[in-house]
Order: sequence, then C-alpha cells, then structure tokens
Amino acid sequence: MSNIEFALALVGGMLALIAIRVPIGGAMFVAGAVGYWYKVGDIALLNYLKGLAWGRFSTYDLSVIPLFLLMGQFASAAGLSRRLFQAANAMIGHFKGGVAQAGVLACAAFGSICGSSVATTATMSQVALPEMKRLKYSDRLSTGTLAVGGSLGILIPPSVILIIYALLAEQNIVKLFAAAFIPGILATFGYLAVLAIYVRLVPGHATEQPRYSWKRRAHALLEAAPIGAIFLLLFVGIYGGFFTATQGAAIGTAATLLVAFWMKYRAKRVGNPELGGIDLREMVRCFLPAAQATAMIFVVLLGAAMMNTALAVTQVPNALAEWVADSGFPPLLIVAGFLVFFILLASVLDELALMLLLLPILLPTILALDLFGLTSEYKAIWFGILMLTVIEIGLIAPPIGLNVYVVANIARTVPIGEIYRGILPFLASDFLRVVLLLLIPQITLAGVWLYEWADAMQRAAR
Amino acid sequence: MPKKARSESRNGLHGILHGLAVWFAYAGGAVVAAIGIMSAVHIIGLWLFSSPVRGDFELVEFGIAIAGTLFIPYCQAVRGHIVVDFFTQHASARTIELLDKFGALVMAVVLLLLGWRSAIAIFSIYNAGETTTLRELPIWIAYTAMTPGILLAGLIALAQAMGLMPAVAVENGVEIK
Repeated sequence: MSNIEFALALVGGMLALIAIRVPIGGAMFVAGAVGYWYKVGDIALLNYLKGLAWGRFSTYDLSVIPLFLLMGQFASAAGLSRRLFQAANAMIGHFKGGVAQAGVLACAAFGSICGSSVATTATMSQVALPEMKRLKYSDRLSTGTLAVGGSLGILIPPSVILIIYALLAEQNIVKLFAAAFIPGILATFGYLAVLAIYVRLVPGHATEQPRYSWKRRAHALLEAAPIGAIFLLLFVGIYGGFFTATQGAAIGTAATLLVAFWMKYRAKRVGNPELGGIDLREMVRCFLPAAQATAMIFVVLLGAAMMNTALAVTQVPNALAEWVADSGFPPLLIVAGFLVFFILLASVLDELALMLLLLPILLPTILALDLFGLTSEYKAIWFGILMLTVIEIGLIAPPIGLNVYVVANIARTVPIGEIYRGILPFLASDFLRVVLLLLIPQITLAGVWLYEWADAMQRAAR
Repeated sequence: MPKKARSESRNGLHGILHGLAVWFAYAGGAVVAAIGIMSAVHIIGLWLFSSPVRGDFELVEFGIAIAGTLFIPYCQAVRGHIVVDFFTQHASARTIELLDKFGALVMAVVLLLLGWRSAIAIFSIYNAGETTTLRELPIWIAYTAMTPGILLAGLIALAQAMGLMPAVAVENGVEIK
C-alpha cells in the first residue's frame, strides 16, 4: 500500500466511524492509533500513548478555554444581555428599524465578552424578541436579526472557535483575536447597514418609535457601564500587550463575576429580580456546563493529535501541499476553492467538526502557497479569520443553521422558513465581507500589526 | 419498559458513576479557579509591585492538564462529545441506541487504553525524576492526578456501552459555537 492509499484509508475509516455517531475525538483517535500501529509498530504506539495526554493538555494556552467558557456562562446567567440591549435601544431605537439595530449592537457588545454564538443568540433573543414583538416589528425581521446578530458571538473576540483554530494551527491566540477585531466590526456595520436599507425598501417590517430623553439614555448607559468596563479592561490589557490571553481571561472572568454579584446584591436590595445577577449557588452551577464543553474540546484535541501524528508519518499532508502549490493554479483561486468546498461540506457536517478534520490537510497547503508574499504566520492568521467567517455563515445559512434553531426554540410560533427569509438579506453582506477579506488581507492583518506595535512598545518600556 | 429501567438505574451503579463524575468536574473547576486566581495575582503583582509569581507558566500548564482530565468523566456521563448526526437522521430510535452504545465502546477503549498508559507512565516518569524547569515540580504528580479522570471516564463509557448507564441529555449544556 502506498502512502497516499494508506492516508486515504485512515481518513476513510475515520469518516466511517464519524458517520455512525462515534464521537469525533474517539474516531480520530482510533483511526490515528491504528495507522500509527501499522506504520511504526505496537511498542512505539504504546510508548507514544504514555505521554500523549500530558503532552497535549499541559499547554499554557489551553487554559483560556475553561476561563472564557466560564466568563460567558457568568455573563449569560447574570442577564447582562438585558442591560446591553436597553442601552443600545435607548440610543438608536428611535430610528426606523432601530430596535433591531440595537439588537445587533447589543449582540456585538455581548460577543465581546462571550465566545459563543449560540449563547449570544439565546440570551439576546430572550430579551430582544419580546420587545420587538411589543413594538410591532415583524417576526421575520426580528428573528432573522437575532439569528444573524448572535453569530457575532464567535466573530468578535473572545471566540472559542478561534482559540481552537489557534491551538490546531499552533498560532498565537492574542494575534488571532487582534486579527478578528476589524472583520468583526465590519460584520456589525454590515448588518446595521442591511437593516437600515431593508426597512426602507420593504415596508411593513419595522415601526418608528419615539426618541428617548437624554435622562433615560444616561440611565441606560450607566446601567451597562460595568460591562463596558470589563470590555475595556480586556481590550487594553490583551491588545496593549499587558496580559497574555490566559491572564486576560482570568481577569475578565473575575470581573464578570464581580459585576454579576453586584447586580444580584442590588436586585435583592431593590426587591426586583428583573435586575438579574447571580449568587454563589448560581455561580457554582455555571461550572458544570463549562466543564462539559471544555472536556468536549480537549477530547477532540487529543484525537486530533493522534490522527495528525499518524498522518505525519505518511507525509501525505506535505506531499499534497507541494502538489497543490506546484499545480499552477492561482493561489487565491485555491483558497477561494477551499472556502467554497468548506461551505458545501458544512451543509452536511458540523462546522467545528469540519474544521478539525480538514485543517491538518488544508493548512500545510495554505502555508505552501504564495499569497501576497505574506509570511507563514500571517497566512495562518489570515486563513483562520476566513475560516471563522465561513463557519459563522454556516451557523445562519440553510439547510442547517444552528443559530436559526436557537432562535426558533425561543420564538416558538415563528416557522423556521420565516426565520431563514429574515436572514437572506444579511447573507449578502456576509458574502461581500468574505470577498473583501479574501482580496484584501490587510483588513485582517491591520489588527495584528497594531498589536505587534503595542507589544513592542510594551517590551521596550519594561 | 425501558423507561422504568432507566429511572431505577438512577441509583446504584449509575448514581455512583454520575456522582463521581460531577465531583471530579467540581474538582477540575476548583483547579481552573486556582489557575485564574494565580494568573490574576501574577499579573497584578507584576504590574503593581514588580513581584510576579515565579514559574506562572508551568503552574498553569500543570493545572490545566489536571483540570482537563478531571472534566472528561462528566462530559462522558452526559454524552457531551461532538457527534455528527447528519447521516443517521432517519435511523430508528433502536438503531441510534445501538450506535450510541458502539460509540461509547469506542470511547471506552480509547480512554481505558490512555488511562492504562498514563498509569504506567507515572512510574517511568517518577524513576526518571523529570521536573518542571523553574519550580522543579515533579511531573509524576501531574500524571498521578491526571490518570483517575481518564480511567473514570473510560469506566463510564464502558458502563454506557453495556447499557448500564441510561442516556442522559446534557444538563443545561453549553454550545461552543
């Protein structure tokens, strides 16, 4: 059996296991272990396994995963979304379609302390959907907006998916976060623009509301201020080069917890449970879901490590990379082809699973291509943001948009088809953004350069 | 009929394994909290008093490796792994149940194999006297703390494969996407 046939057999075996509901981490591990055994031998495999768990898990950067997951749990449980939505609504709710735009802005703000789109969508929908219904916004517009807005949860750092990418691609997490910032802001403004145009072109979906008084605006902003403070602390700390990602996550989690405690204290004193917050008991309850999600990621990373080791023995990923690089196709076309391939497969497979499966094969190829003369590191960062954008689209696009189901679960009277119809106009802005990011890598890399400059200043000062 | 069996097995073996998994998860949570507090103390100490925690990197690495393995049993117990269900959407409940038992068996083999090798490694690492660079923490301690989580997760997967642990939905689970 040639190396290529062997690698194909490994990948095929793994896919077969995955197709019959074997957990992805387990399927990768088994296929990888069998391959390694066959190629290198049983003693070598048993020796390799001795150090695998420690070798894979004793990674400094892995610690950001449970910390950011906990931070998102605290933020969701404490009901920070209500304050964010009310503040955004007080400022821009009076525009035509402004309440929906406030929903998008609040999602973006929540996304800046939460790394999950599903969590952002769920917590924001609970607050914003009833309000939009009360103000006679159409179901189509309000549910579509929330499904799309919630997807900003992974686009805007911190982002759990981006952390996983950074770990798999062996890239600096902070640089990937810095790279995600400008595309995230671009996405937010794209959605705001789509809403502004849509409600003016298609009548009957949004109403006009009276302007809030400055007194009420000031009050709403003040209520949301602690969340803004957490964001600023993280932003300045991480991108200013003061913290590592882990230290930022630790401080952000602690700050979120303090705000949540303070909210509970005030809610109890005023006697209004609407004010949210969490107590010690509720804090402890946040740990179990975070533990489950952390382990889910860790198991997958373990399987991926075994599979990658076996594939590396066959040297097929490198051979494939060389072959594609020498094929004479324009490099940008190859990257675009990858993205299209990814989007197509994402309608069948879960996007995260897809990234885990494809990255070991795709990334060496991307690194072997000559793209705008970028260094390997910049290529990996840029491609990571492209992957993230494509995954984000997969969360809202038919046939299986996870976010759509999250919204449908809350807006139970709205048919799925109606939500998808609400999403369609936004997909135009998403498509445009992917093209922009693909053609102009500077949009992505500007954030990285800014961070590198700040970090260098920091080092010089020390 | 199967419903009754499920509610009964909440006690007995299932209750013990599930309870252990939950306590392991809380222990892992405590380790993560310790990592968080240590990192915060480190950074505040560094910037305010120029006295950082020595060897903070290796303390985090030690902690996260242990915490990660302590979380796996709970993830296994609530069947929280990433599973692709696209190809089996139209399969009958009976088929799904069988496939999930097979999936649990695969996880059991993987985790027990890994747990066994980690347990063996405790002795070889101990004999080799490997330590971390700055604080000279003995690495065999980390292996010792990591092995129980992996083995417990393997046992839970085995119980699931044998139908001794009923399918439990993820309790207020969190999606990472």
